[in-house]
Amino acid sequence: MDSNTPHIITDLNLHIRFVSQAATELLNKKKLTGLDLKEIFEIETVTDDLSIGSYQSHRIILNRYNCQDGYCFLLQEQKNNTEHLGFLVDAISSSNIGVWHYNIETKTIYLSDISKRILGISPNIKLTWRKLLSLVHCDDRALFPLFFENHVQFGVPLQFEFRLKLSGQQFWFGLKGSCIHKSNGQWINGTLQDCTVEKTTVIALNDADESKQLAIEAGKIGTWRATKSGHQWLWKWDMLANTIFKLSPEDIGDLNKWVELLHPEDKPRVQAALEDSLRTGVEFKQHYRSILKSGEVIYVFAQGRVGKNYKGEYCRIDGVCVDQTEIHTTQLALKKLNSELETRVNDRTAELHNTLQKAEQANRIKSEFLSMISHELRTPLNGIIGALDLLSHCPLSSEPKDLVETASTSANHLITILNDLLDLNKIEAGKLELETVKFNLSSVISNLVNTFSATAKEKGIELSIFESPADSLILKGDESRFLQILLNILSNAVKFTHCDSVPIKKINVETHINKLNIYQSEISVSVSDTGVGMSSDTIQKLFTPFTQAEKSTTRKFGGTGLGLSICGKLIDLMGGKICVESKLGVGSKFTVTAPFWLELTENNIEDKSPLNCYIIGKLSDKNQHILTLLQSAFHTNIINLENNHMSSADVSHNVVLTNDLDMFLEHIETLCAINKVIVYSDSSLVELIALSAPFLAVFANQPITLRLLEKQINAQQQDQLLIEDFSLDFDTDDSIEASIIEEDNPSAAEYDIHDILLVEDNPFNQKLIKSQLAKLGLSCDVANNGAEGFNFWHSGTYRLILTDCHMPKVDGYEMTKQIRTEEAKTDQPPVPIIAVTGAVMQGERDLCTSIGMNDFLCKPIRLNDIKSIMERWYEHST
Amino acid sequence: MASNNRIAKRHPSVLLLAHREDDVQGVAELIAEQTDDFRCLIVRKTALDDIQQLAPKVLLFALSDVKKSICLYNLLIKENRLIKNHYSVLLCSNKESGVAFKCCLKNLFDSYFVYQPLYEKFRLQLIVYDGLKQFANTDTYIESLDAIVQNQNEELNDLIETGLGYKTSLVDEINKHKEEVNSINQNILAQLPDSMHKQLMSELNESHIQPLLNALESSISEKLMGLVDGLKQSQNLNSQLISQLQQPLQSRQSIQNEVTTSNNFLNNGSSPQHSILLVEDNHIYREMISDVLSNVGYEIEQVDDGLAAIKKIKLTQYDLIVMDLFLPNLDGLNTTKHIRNVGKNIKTPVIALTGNKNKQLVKKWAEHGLDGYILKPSTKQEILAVVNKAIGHQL
Amino acid sequence: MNTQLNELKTLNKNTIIELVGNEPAKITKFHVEFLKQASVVLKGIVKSFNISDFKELKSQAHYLKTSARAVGAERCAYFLETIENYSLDQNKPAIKQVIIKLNGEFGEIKKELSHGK
Repeated sequence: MDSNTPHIITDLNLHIRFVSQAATELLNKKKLTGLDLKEIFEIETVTDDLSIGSYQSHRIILNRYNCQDGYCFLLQEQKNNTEHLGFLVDAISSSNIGVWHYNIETKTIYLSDISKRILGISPNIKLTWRKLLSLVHCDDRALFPLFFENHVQFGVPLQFEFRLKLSGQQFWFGLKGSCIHKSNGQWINGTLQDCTVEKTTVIALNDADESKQLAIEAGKIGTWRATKSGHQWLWKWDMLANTIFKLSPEDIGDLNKWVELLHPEDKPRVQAALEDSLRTGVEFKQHYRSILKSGEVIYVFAQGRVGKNYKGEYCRIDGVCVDQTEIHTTQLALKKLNSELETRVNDRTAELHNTLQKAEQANRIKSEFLSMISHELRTPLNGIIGALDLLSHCPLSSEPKDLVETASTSANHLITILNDLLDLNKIEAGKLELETVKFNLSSVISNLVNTFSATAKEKGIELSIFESPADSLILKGDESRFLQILLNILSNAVKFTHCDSVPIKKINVETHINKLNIYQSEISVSVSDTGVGMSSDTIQKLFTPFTQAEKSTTRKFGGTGLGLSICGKLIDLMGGKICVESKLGVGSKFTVTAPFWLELTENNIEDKSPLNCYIIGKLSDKNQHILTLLQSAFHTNIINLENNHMSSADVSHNVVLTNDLDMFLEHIETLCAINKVIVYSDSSLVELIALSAPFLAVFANQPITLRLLEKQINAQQQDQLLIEDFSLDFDTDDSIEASIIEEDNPSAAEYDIHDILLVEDNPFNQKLIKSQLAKLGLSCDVANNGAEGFNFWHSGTYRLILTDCHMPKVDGYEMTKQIRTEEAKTDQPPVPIIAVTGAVMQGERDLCTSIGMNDFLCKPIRLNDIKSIMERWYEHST
Repeated sequence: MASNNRIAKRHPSVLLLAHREDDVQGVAELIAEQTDDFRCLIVRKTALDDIQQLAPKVLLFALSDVKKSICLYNLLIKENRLIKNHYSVLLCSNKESGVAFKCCLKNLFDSYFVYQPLYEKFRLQLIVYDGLKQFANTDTYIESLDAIVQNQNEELNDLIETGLGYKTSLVDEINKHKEEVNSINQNILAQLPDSMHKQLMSELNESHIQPLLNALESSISEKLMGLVDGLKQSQNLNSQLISQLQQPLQSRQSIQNEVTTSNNFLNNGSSPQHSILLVEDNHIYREMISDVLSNVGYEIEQVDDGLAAIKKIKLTQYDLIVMDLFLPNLDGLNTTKHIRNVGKNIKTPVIALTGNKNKQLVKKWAEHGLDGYILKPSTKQEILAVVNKAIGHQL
Repeated sequence: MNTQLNELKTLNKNTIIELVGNEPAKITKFHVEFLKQASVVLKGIVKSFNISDFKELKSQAHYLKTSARAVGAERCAYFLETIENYSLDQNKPAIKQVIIKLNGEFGEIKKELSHGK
């Protein structure tokens, strides 16, 4: 370098070391050494080696070169073109475009700061061509020599894109350049741009387009479009659309070709829709049929959207069309199948309906027949029973009295058979449905025992009940049928135990509850007796209708032989079983077992009230059972009176269990002091204890049920007495009263007007009821049918009407309706009307009350029935 | 029981006979108030048959005049249309009261009553009661009265006392008149032949009997009106109490009967029957004792409480009083005290009926003059022994 | 006392025979009368009991006791006398029990009468 060339030499820190003569002149300043170059020239770096500075309002270009231990800067005053250059530099730096140049001969590369930054290379690093290439994505490396050489040799524009991985992320760069020839050799200058965003967008776009295309092709979707030019619509569709319509390629664009193919039925609709869409911009969406040239009919779905131009005019429509012929034919086939199925189902239903009707008719005929037969049999039977009942109220000598009793027992037996027969038929016809009601086992047992305790006592049978004290389970099932079974079995037990040949007469009833799961429990009730017993042969035949153990027993014990067979069928319906163990001359044991649902919701456990249980003497088995029951129902505190002297809490329930009269009397003072005591003892002692301590409630410990026990204990809590409990009903005691009634009623007056009307068609029944009324000192007028009855009522004044329900011409119901209507019209108080009916079918009663009848007399009519009816309706009707 | 009533209504116990319904409206109302067992019959051609069918126990004749009533009654009897022991009452106007009285004296009718104008309403009811009482099995009427009597209070008792006072004098007067009339009539009848009967009767009517009867009648009505006024004065006497007042009136009949029977006894000179007053509230036991005693020939009168006993005692003398210790209203002890102080039975022996637990009380009672006691329930022999002993003592 | 209690009869026929003589018709009549009376008085006893009118209770019991003894209803009379005694003490719980027993006893009498016939 000579001194004519203005240059400045700096160390590596750009501190000026030397200023050439020419530079001193240019800068017009002598002393510059030691100063910082950057500060003096306010340097702006353009590239690494090119900087622009300013000095005393001169713009100076500084070209840097490396020299020993520092840099050498050539200074050049920028005169006119400095403005232009500055603009270029600004533009480059602001557009974030990197610049580079490459010397082909030396293969050196220069990269501007921006280039380095966007390539992720630190500005201080010197880059070689090779090094740069190593950074590029391996797939793109080949591009460099290819493009550079082609450019230099054949002038192909140097423009390509390459990928680079920067901090794990892939970036796209655009590279452009052109070759220039300079004095110092061939150079390629160019720019470098980060085009990652553009490139990825394009790639994504391409992908999307490609997949769309794929989808369209796969789904046989044709696309179509039209653009408006001037007032003309130019149509175009793709090959796929063309194939759908089987058009030739040259037909593309000719809308008429498509229109021609439209099915004549669809044509007007589709055309109108298309025109409408083009005019108003509404989406085009149509299903239509086309008839192809081959005559084939296809089903097409087309959809298109209308676009606007910048003026808001509708200028284009793009859409698709799909061939749905296949779907359509499938659907059609499906529909056909469906309708076929439907008709088949309908046919079947109709067939079933017919069969059902036939079955119902048959059933109805059968039950009509049954009820008719039962009515036919009942009517004469009722007459017989009524007459016998009446006869039994007459003073008779012992022989005819016995005969009457025998006859009336037989007649009642006949009625029972009739009822059983009806029941059995019902079950066998499957007409019997089990109910499902909530019930409590202890109430069933209580019902059972109440029915028989009096009879058992009368017949000298010792009846004992041992209930399992299960915590009040609520069961669900057919309570009444279960009870029916138990009643039947217990009545058999009583019947076969009450026998002269049986020395010890005992019947035990035991219950047991076996919880199967949380939903079900198995209830078993066993009735064991010390009766006549059966041989194993007869046990086999037990449950067959009309067989009693032996033929002779029927004569001896009566009974229909139907009872157990009904029980057997009922228990089968319930899913349970009846087990029989018996030994001739020893006794029988029937165990009825049936599963029942448990009521789950009601599980509220009530607080047990406290109870003091005083035990005097040794606890007998039966008293032990009482204690068990007490413990299940009460919070029981056991006190032994001999070794414990009144250390008990004062509670309102106090029970004494004893079987020792002498010891009991010893403690009687103590017991006096206790409030509301109940004494339980074996029945043999009850009477004596009751007499010895009349101030105490004394009960037998058997037969007892949980219900009864609770009732007795609770009754003890009441301070008052109910007057109804103390009516000694002498009216029922005919044997004593009969003679007196006789005396009081000499033959009833004949001539007087009667105020009771009897409407009855059967002359025998007329006679019967008349004589029953006469027995009560009453007399009546008789009408033979409903029409007559109404006339009687109309012309006379009656205080009571007794009417049969089934009569020829106008029946009892009809007559009642007429009378009630007439009464309402004339504002009269209703006369009591009592239905006299032999029918047992349920619903009869409801019918009677709904019509306006007041009460019921069931045939066979017994004197007591008619008496209580008269007391209820006749005596009080004034 | 109710059914019996109904049937009975078809055979009404009380039958009122009249020509026109208007004539007897007031009377009918009064009797209807008293008993349901009553019917009014308008006399027409079929009357005889009707009456026979109705078979009444008490007949009230209220035809347009006394003569017609008598004719009908005679016809009924002649044709045997009535039940044997019926009770006949003649209803007449004020003008014909004399004739009616005469008819009764001749025992044609059992009683008569002036119903035009209708003044003495209670007497009418009394007559009907008396009639009904003739019948043994009309217990219901007596029972109902018994029930009412049981409710009597002290105030009423006082009233009864005064009532009884009036009646004694009344009875004396009546007896006096009766004797006079009897003697006169007998004299005349003895002297004169039958053909003259009517003429003489009319003469007697004018000159002798009429004034006598008038005096009697005015005295009766005066006394009775006084009695009725007295009754009216007592404050809370409702219809129930008024009907109770018929009790003392009713006793008049029995008094008369007793007078006549005692007369008969005297006349006949037959040996007197011993009369015993039985006081016991439990009707079953009372009937049993009565049964036992009457079976051996004693004449028994039964009452059911101390007050009723005192009433009886004041009027009648008994040979023996058998009395329960515990009695409603007035117990045996206090009743005995009363007997010993007042009436005709100061010296009558008293026998106590008692349970064995009340020996203390019996001892105390004995101080007031007890002549023995019967333990409940004794046997027939024991009872008769005690009774016979007590009566034997007195005689 | 206790042995005596045991000997008390529901219906001692001899009592009434000794009183009115061996006349079945008459005896039946008195028996029926007695039951009718008992039916009425028992109701009265219960009523008095419920309103705690012990004086009335006692007098009703006494009243019925007379006829009970007469017809030979020994247990019945015993219960009635017990009621009388407890009425003096006004021992209501005890009376209640005796009334209940009395009621049962009437049932027994009735049964005996209808069977006896």
